[in-house]
Amino acid sequence: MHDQPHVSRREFFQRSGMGFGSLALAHLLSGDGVAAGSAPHFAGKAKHVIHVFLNGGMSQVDTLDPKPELTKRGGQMLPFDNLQTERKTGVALPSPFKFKKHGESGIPISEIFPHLSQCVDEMAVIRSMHVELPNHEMSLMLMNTGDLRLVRPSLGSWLTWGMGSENQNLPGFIALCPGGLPVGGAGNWRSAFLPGVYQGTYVDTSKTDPKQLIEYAHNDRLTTQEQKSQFDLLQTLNARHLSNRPSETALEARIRSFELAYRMQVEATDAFDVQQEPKHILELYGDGPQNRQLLMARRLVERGVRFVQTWHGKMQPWDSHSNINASHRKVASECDQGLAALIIDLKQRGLLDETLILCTGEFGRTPSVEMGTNGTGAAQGRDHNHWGFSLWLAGGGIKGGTIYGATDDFGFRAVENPVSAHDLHATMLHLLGMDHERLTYRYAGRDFRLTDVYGKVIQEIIA
Amino acid sequence: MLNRRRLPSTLFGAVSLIFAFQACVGFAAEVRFNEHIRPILAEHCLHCHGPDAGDRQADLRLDVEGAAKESAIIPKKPHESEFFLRITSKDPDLRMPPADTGKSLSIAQIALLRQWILNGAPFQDHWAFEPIKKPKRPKVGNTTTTDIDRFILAALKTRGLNLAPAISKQQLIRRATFDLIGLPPTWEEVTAFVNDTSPQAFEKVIDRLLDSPQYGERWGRHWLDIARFADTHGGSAIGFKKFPFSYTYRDYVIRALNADLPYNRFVTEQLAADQLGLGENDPALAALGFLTVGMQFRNPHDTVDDQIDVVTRGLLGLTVTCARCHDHKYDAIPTDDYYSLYATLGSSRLPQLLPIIGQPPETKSYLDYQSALSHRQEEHDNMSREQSAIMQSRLRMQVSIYLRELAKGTPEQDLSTTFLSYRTDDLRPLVLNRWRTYLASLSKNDPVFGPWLRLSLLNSKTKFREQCLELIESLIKENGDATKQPAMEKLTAKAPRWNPRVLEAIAKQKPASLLEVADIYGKLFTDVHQQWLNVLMGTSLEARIGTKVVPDEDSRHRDANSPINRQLRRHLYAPDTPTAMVEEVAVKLLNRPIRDNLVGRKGSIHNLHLTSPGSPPRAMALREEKQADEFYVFRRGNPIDRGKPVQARFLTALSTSGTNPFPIGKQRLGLARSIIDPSNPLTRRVIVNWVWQHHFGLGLVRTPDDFGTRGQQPTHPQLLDYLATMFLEEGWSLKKLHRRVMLTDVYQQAAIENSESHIKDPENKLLWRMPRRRLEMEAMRDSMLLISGELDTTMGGRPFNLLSKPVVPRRSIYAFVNRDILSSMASTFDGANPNACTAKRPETNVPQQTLFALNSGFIQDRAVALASLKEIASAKSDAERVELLYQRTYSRSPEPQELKLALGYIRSQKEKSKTNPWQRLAHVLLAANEFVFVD
Repeated sequence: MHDQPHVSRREFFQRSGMGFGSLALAHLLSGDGVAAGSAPHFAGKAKHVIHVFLNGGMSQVDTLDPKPELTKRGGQMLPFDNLQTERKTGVALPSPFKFKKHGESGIPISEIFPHLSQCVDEMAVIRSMHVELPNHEMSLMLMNTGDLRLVRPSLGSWLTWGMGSENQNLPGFIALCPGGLPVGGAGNWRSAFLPGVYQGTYVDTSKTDPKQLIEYAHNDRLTTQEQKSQFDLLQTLNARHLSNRPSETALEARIRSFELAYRMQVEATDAFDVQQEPKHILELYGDGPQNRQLLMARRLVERGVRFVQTWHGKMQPWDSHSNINASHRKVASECDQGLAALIIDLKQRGLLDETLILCTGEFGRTPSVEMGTNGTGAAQGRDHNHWGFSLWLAGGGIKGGTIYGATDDFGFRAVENPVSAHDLHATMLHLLGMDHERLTYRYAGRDFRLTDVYGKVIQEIIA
Repeated sequence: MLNRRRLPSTLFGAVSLIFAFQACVGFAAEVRFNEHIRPILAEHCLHCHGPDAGDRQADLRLDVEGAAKESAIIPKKPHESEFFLRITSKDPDLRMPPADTGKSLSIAQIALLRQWILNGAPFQDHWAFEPIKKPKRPKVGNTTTTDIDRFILAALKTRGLNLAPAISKQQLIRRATFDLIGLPPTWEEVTAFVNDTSPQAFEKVIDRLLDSPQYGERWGRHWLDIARFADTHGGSAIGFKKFPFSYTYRDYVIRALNADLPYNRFVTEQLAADQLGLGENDPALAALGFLTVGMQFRNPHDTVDDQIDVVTRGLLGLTVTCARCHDHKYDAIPTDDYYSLYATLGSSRLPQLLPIIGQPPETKSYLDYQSALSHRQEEHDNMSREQSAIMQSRLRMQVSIYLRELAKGTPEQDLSTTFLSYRTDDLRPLVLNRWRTYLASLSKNDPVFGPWLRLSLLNSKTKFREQCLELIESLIKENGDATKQPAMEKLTAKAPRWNPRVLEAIAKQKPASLLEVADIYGKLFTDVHQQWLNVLMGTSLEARIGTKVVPDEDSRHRDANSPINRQLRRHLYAPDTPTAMVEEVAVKLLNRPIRDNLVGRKGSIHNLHLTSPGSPPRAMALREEKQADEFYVFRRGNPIDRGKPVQARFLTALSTSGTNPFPIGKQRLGLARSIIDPSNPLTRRVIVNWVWQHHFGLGLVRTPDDFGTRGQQPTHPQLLDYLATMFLEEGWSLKKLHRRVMLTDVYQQAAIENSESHIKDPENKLLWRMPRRRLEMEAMRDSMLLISGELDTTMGGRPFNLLSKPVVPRRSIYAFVNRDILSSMASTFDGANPNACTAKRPETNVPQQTLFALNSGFIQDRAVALASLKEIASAKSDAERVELLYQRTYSRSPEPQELKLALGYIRSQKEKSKTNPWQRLAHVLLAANEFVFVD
């Protein structure tokens, strides 16, 4: 007999949409039980990522980076030429929000995140992020793919390629966004030169019927019984076909894939059905699509999905060019409860240690007021600011209660321990057990990396 | 896998094991440089010891024989060769490759290197750069076999292998039909072939398929993968997303392949159709889409980079774009070569209005389109012209903003990454660059800017004011006595050597820094511009009818006639000055609301091209600019760090007779001719390999877009050269090549496993069986539509939406391709990446694919249509119905057992349902492996 698989293990993983580090399928293939959970380069704490994207750009001085000096000088020009951003900005615009220190670590968070502020001891806040340009699309590409101009695979694609999915019945990389696409569209979760299966699967979370959420996961024309007997016939024919062509791995693989798909119909629908949660969990997360999709994200990582990205909404909801007070208050209130609930819920299930949460925008906002086309700052908004901004991480091996880096006295530019998108990516890969310099993919004669030739792991935020 | 990583560290230094290894492998004399040694060097050594002079370590180069043998390698003496000592050293600080590269040599590799040195360390040129020579046909017994089979059999024989048995005629015609037209044969075609007992039966089938217009649709799709074809601009493009005319390139490709346009001509047209002296409406101009349908990047550097990539990787199998930032690490592609190609391609632009293909008939819709076009164009042009004039006029009032930046020493900015929302008072980086370049081009004796240039050289820290005044005083002296001059309104008046208004202003203001000088110049130019506007106003008013004539040299014309003012105005209005610009440039600088409005007007023209029923097809052509910019090497790829100037010319490594610059005005044609030159060792090898790959699933070179050092060796080097030779002899005909390849035993053998052969050659490199092929997305979809009787065979034209409901039953090649958002069908089924040249699609096997087969509306709708076809629905019996379904779907009749299964299934199903059992059976047949995999 020669029924050994005729492809290398590595090749098989890659073709199956499993990462070469993945072990679930190794088990399936060889039957020689291999312990699950080891990562390709070294033991990493995190196994999953939930990437919360506050698209449009969260203002650091109104959320995570309080600046008393800005308040003091409200209405005056800053003591330096305002840095160039997309639009002209004028005098210092103090934050309309109050800050208070929270938790044992005493990390200050503004009043627009009343729930999240209760979780600061789990969070590491980076206050010295910076990107290269004050332009949404390019900064989104940089934060998601590590390159602002060229077509490169996204972070989620790299991870699912590198680690595979733990659950063959669900896609390894899922992007949730209610109501439409963010700026840059599917470019934010594209696989570029990595095989197409590693691109994010987009799910519109404004839909509520879980059967409608994933394409082809449900057959609405056949009864369960009809489908069962049809499926049996299909696999019988496939088996006959195979018996005339023995040992054909490709044929065997598709037969197995049919079995997986058949089971997936049930599981996929389940995974997205937040209504199956008990009442107290639903109440913990709160209502609205932003909170609900965070709960969905938990259900997904719980089932082994590698990378879930949740977008606040279509286009750029955090882009508060006018009335920072009302607009930031509104968007924060839409996700605050869910973000806190996510941390609490993962923790009570023992999943926080293995789930890395990243919450960020593509850049921050200016501490100075944006001058409208009429040349005044009457609209009380803030422009894009790529010179300095804040984000937070939690779980997955992150040292909670940490503040890393700082901006200048006004929150304009990162001055202490500046962190680039590449540093962030390198750190995330590290937490997942991967060396960003060794996670490479050969394409067009070159070994590509997520971090290109840059990136430094920030040890200070790692537990 | 994890174990493999650990292996070297545990065994390192165990040289005795190397001997043991050698002893059991017994390859002593057989080590060949290209096959064994070069890949090791490429993978482990050349990154730091290769062609890239910039990163070369220890001044050691291992890819060139002379350099390697200067010190590192002593032939026949491995243990005296530093190279060998270092790769076997136990000292981690000395051992190569260094641990931090994460690379290490295996025992087997070290053994190979050792044996190679013992053999004298012979080098060979990389096989792919060697000239193509017609090889001798190997002798294989007495068989009257084809030349191709001789090469295949000879290689198989060396390993004691043989071909698999031939497949049945039913299977053969199905394989050939999928291969050539991407669709299954009809049952009539199958029976005709089976019943045709003539020796030419299969040849006739091949000829029929090659003559079918559907051949171009099948192979055109393969070519569009290479051409990274899409119907949208992609990613970071601001504004319009869809190409209105990408379809004309797609249709050109289909036409060219159907006509069997010789491949050398096909390449030439795609690179330089506009330089072949064709008519201005020649359909072949659409070929240039090969260069122009790529992603539209925000800056020209990336767009040209994409063109270089598609030309080099797609046509030459070389990865040249690595050399954008540094000399290629592995192949002989220096950075200079990259920028020579940059100069070749970067000097061309799309014309403003693309050429119409052919002569559109004067239908009403065409006339409507034309009148709407001229109306919208007029609306746009009028606004553009006026706003551009206002923009330039404003810039002339703002000279000080720019001179101040230069005085501050602000470094040059890469414009490709600027994206700003301008107001009137904002600095425009593009204008700053223009001032920077302009001032740098002026002589220090320029009457107006001479003082500025001299003052810029002063040390601004110490006594700027004193030095400045000293200089100005001396210049005033040089000017001499001005009183002898005629009055300034006289046309004979002459300006002194140094512009007195400049000198006066500086002398009066006594600036303490260059910044203050900038303000003085700025103020002066503001005055000059205002005066000039007044001059225009005043002199115009004099021309009003009935106004008393003012003599030309009247004192009222002093400002107008003054040569001193003219000296100044020259720097604001002459065509080469920073603030005098063509409209195209000026409109980029407009304030945001105005620019948005103008962009909207351009958008309405674009939409007209895109959607008007009368919009005629146009070619996405290119035109070489008459006065192209000069091109330079960009150091480390940085466009503002310019190195030496470059000329448009071909790659050094592929130029047998020197690299002469391409002729101006026909640079792309020069490139095309270098590519198709019969002496070019790559072009023909790459294309014949591509054809082979699409017949066998794998190429003779399995890295079809990398024939370089890091690519794989050909499995049959002589066969590859044989095919390349015959291809030239047969006039670069692709159709003749298909015939030659398909009329062989190796093509007609079965796709079945053989465990003995498998052990000897697990990767089937020697082709002891036909690899099993899976239908690509397009072939799968199109075949389902054909079988269900729905396929619409209309050719060409604007794209349709692949996912529209109800389905548009046209062939998939005509579906709209969104570069950013691949249709779920394309991404699920490994469609080509439309952002870069794809020589080989990935092959994945994910549950989403089988979910599609189980649940998609598409497959179920096809099943409904198939089961409802008249010939099937009206069958005399259930058994006949099953028989007809099988014949139509699988090109064969069901076996008795299969018939029984199907009938059993039908009988077991209750009739009361949304769907009928025959539809569900048809669905099973379309979903099953037999449909998706070709024997």
